Amino acid sequence: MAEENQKKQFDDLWHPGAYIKEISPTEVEKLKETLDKAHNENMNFNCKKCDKKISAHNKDWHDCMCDKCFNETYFPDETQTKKKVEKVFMKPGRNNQEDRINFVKFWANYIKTHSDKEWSEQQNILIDGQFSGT
Amino acid sequence: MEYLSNKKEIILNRELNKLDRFALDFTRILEKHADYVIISGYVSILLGRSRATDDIDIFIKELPFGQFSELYEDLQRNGFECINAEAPKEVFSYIKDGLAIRFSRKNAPTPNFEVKFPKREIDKETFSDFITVILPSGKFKISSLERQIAFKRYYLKSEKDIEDALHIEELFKKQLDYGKINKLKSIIENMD
Repeated sequence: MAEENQKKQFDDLWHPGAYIKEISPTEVEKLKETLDKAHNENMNFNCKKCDKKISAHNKDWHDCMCDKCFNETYFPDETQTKKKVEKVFMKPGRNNQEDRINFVKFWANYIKTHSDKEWSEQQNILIDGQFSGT
Repeated sequence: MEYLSNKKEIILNRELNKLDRFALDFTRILEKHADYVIISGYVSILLGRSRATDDIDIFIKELPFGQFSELYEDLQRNGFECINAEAPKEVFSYIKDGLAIRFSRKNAPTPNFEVKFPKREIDKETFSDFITVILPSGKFKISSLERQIAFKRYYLKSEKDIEDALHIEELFKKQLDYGKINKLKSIIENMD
């Protein structure tokens, strides 16, 4: 069992995506204070990426980012995989108007769950097709 | 896409299309001469709405003829033309009277920019709460999302406009100021 745990820890370390920070021996003691603190405790700091309120734990252990920004920065593959699993389907409308509204909602959700590059490449087919020499 | 509401910025790493490049080329010249804010349909399209358009609506802060003339000449030098008239005095008289004037690339009337001076107080306020959209290769000033929703949903009201508003609502629902939308709604409903 101990061997299995050790192997798991080793595998996790080499899992794609990682956050490694160099700290001095004096810093270690200070950082230990926030290691076991909850993600919503002492929310007196701001995410350096999106400016949302973050905890002391996130400031010290998540590169001063909220969970979302941290995961997107250091574990992009996992974030992407998670998004792909949560596939959403469009509900067909009972008439043309309802169907169009459902598509607007479906497409907005697609934008929120895919990279700007992915959705804009699709939108550009529609827009570029309208203009020839522009 | 990320909306930083406290900074009034949207970070948008989208691939540019022909309409975006047209808009960037035009606004890069425009901003040297006048303050502007893009309004209406192109705002939704820039933010991903899956539809095309012929025109991009834009407010520019009212400016005197001399300054307008310099803008007009700069646009002409850079391959744009006004499709309403050729003489700058005539073009200026239209916009001064509250009419929209359209600029396109020479000999290609579509797409075009529909340029107006804001006349009503509610339109002038567009300049006080605009958002900056930051693209990998440029920036745009667009009307606030709440203003965009209120005008589309309660003033323009066509099927296309309501869908444009819904698109923005769906994208940013948790970050919108619904109090502001309702306030704009009541102003719009009491307009002449």
